[in-house]
Parts: sequence; structure tokens; C-alpha cells
Amino acid sequence: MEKFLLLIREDMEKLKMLPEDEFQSCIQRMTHWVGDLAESGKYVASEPLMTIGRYVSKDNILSDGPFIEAKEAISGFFIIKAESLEEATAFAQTCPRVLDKISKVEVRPIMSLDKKTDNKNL
Amino acid sequence: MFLLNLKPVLTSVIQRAMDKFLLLIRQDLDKVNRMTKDEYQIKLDAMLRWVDDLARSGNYIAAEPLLTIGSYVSFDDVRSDGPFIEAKEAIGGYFIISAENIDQAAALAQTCPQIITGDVVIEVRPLRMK
Repeated sequence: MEKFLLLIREDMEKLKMLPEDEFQSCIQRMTHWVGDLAESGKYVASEPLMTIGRYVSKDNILSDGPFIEAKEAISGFFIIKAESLEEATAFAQTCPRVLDKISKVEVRPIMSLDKKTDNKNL
Repeated sequence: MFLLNLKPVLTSVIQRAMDKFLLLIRQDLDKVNRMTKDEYQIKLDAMLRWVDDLARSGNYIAAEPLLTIGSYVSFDDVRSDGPFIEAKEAIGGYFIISAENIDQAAALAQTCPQIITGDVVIEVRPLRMK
């Protein structure tokens, strides 16, 4: 089994305007979503992110910046285990916020540094 | 494997008093794909040394690189790779660090060896405390 990073992407402006109780119910739905996964031992970690940030480059530190101002900014992440990218992708398709047309998900395989293979493109 | 080990108890006590931040390492993944194995290893080694520095200063929590492939999922579409991976500032890896506040987290991010070489930019995001 491999680990995958799922990045939940949505409009941060809209997320900022959610009242706290609605936000908490979103968190609950997302927690429920990974509930079964947790039972099968495939859940590793997840966190929602605050709607602020910094954009750091060699010569600059900007408040917020292009990644947060984008329509598909990152609102949170999940780390899960799956047999393949296909399986992780299929799981991402069941995300409640995706089904509600609010979010997209970027699914990325996490590189295992234990493997002695050409790790760039396994 | 170092990256899988959490720090000793003393550091985690200090970290519980600080806030946690996600650092998304943003770079051109086409350039990563075009690197030779040796070039890639040199850059990876520099990042691993930075992990050691962050661990010594009590800020390191976790970090992992990502493969340069993935998928893009929306409610009516699934595709390989997709716009996030094809972007010039795609995500090549993540760090989770602890810091006093977002400005300290951003200052730490600026010490990343690949920031100094101009290879990457970093998105710094506070984790919401539950």
C-alpha cells in the first residue's frame, strides 16, 4: 500500500464567509467521509487550513498571495493509504464537498524514501 | 527512516505550545521530471539537511516529497495530472512545522535551500486548531 496526499481545493472567499456553525458541520461531514477509511486502517491524517497564508519566495514574503486568492485554493488536506492512484482517486470522488460541487481534489502519490528505485516517477 | 520518526518528548512538549503550519513546496514539475537522478538526489539531500536543521531548532514535525503525477477530481470529471500538476508552481512536497506565529513560519520557510536557489516558492498555511 502507498500513501496519498489529497488536497481539497475550493474558493477561499466563499469559505471565509461561512458562519462558524456551518463550517463546523462541513468539518463533521468530512470527518464522517473518512470514518470507514479509518476502520479499514487506511486513514493517516487530515487537517483543515485557515483561510490566510503567506507566499514566500527568495526575495519576498507576501500576505496571502496568488495561491490563496485562486478560485481553487487549498482548504485542507487528507493523507490516506491506498493500493494505487486509481483507488485513491476513486475515494476522492466520494468526497462530500466534491459531490456538492464546491470542491475539487488534487490526488498525489507520496514518495516513499525507503525505496531504492528511481523515485521521481514510479 | 528519519522522516518517519517524531522528535523526542521534550521537543513535542515545546511544539504543543506553538502553532502548526503546512508548507507547500511549489515548483515547476516539468523541470523536476527533466532532472537527472544525480541532480535530483543533490536537491533531495539539501532538503534532508534542512529537515535536520528544522529538527534541531525544534520546528520540524513532518515532511514528504510527492511524485510528479496525480489526478484531478471534480464532481463530473476525473483526469490524470490536470491543471494543478501542469502549473508552473505545482506542489512538489509538503512540510508540517511548528512556529510561534505565521510570520515566524514564513521566515523559516525562507531558509529552505531550494528557496535560496530560486527553484521553489512556498505557500505557508496555518493548520486550524480544533
